Amino acid sequence: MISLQLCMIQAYVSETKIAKANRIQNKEPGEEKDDSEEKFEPINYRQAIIFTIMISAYIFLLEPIGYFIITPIYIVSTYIFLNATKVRNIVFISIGFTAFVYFLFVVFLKLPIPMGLLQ
Amino acid sequence: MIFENLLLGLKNVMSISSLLSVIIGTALGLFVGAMPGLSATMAIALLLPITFGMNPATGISMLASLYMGAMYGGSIAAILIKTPGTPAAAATVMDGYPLMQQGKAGKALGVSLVASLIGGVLSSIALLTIAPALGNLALQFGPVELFAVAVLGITIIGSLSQGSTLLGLLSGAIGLLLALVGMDPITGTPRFTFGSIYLFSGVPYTVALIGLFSIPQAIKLIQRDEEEKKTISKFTDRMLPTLQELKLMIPNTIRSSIIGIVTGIIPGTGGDTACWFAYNEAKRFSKDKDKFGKGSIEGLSAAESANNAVVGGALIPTLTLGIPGSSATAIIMGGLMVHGIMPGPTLMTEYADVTYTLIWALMISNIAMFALGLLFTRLAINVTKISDKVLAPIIIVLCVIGSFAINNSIFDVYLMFAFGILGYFMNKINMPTAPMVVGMILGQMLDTSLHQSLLIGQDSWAVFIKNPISAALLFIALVSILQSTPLFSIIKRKIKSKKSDEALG
Repeated sequence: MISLQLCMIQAYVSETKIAKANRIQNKEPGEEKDDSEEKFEPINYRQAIIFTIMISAYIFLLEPIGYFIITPIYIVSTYIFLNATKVRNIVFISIGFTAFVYFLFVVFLKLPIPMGLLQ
Repeated sequence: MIFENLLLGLKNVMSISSLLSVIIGTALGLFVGAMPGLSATMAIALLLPITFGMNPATGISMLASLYMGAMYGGSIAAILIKTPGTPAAAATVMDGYPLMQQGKAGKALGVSLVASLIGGVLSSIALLTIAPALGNLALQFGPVELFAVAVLGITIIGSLSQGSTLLGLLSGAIGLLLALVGMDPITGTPRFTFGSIYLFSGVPYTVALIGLFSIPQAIKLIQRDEEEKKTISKFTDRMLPTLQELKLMIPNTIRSSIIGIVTGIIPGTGGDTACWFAYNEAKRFSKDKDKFGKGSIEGLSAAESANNAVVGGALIPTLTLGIPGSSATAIIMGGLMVHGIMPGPTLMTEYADVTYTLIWALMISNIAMFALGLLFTRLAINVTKISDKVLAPIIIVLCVIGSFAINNSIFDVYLMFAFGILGYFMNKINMPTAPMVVGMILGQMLDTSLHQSLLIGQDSWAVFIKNPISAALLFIALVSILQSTPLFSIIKRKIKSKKSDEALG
């Protein structure tokens, strides 16, 4: 039994090495190009930092205000900040998505969600 | 016994709720895979909290079928807009995009769908046959062997995952440290809790998973200044390949599927490794190598069948030994643990109903993928047009509710966010996050089994060397670390130079 296992593991390890060697070889045509493209991509630090701050504000206000009030506010403010889409879509997505989460988690799955002010 | 369980699983999966969850999972996977901004791993992490309310077999089947569906979905974006929808579809771009340029987008998608089907079915069969056998073997494992298995799992994942071995191992070690937070499983002493009661039960890795895989992705989606307009043309040609093309594909897809399954079984190597591996092998065996990179059906089918075959392969060590082969299977394992099912040897006996249902669900999800692929690929194209900036806040909202729902604790949401920020910077320095997650999951097993083994060995560490299985496994773990150190390459070079000396002399 043990010898069988050892055989298996040996095959395992040799295969591992083949895979690794292959990956190193293969990095040249496709992957490395993708990597370098990603590296040189300009990052809008201001946008990334403000986005992160908005997430922190969202999660810290979650409990006192309530998920179903703060979520549409968060979505709308983020979209406006990012200039993501048209006003009509912003309203539609923020309300529609909150309703979707409400039905999925509260009505269908019956999970307790912080209601905050709605309680 | 095994045969009985097989039938039991088949019976379970044929219920309406299971079939529905498989179909929904596959459809979600298809659409998520098609969106270049979303990875399959992230989608599974976000779907995880939703499965808590379901019965374990149904929930886990849904996660696994999402994984399967996303593997095909990734090729839609790869073929149409030259951006792999998931990392595993990177090799699909090589031949898929040229086919699209020749106006054969439908054909390319069809070939990819058929190849995915073959790869997925073969890997489900492999899972169905290898997993019970390996599970039987693993049943003989005691704490001493389990400790060795955990060590091997972490070192292999650390040294094989993308990027440098050092960073991979470091990431795994951080994961192990995080797993130690909380009460000692045997003595009950609280460790590293800083007096906070929230940390007494440890760092919940499901929360960490959601943060690590979703928040960095969301930030990445919005950190670009201006996103380029994605222009996608609709395709009109037929999707199903002709009989002649099928003949060309079949030997190729079978070989690639086997490559995919084997690569999947090895922890730390996933769909992205498998598809390049299979693509190269297909090129080596092919009669017209010139066509590769210019729209070869062989190349396309090799890459696509391999990445679907990985799914079944990666589930083999996850289910039998409790070592997740990739970050996606790590989440599936997390899902099992949330339902109180410890992955590992008992999964094949005690929880046979869940396991065999999962295996059959994977099989059914292939058929669902094929049908949904034929019906909805044209619809899925529209999904690729959704702007990244629209997606990012939605991801955040789902992360928050998901991490809250796990323990109904707002502390978990803060923890999730902290892991998200950590994950973002880990990505920045090219440190793989998968070993950390695996470390967190295996850490519990490592901790308990180490303590138990030392009790067995009466506080002597020699117990690991005296046991042949654990000694062998630990030796392999040592080799897997050493083979990536300079020591190994020096030895290799010496052997090489000696050989060339002999040849000259």
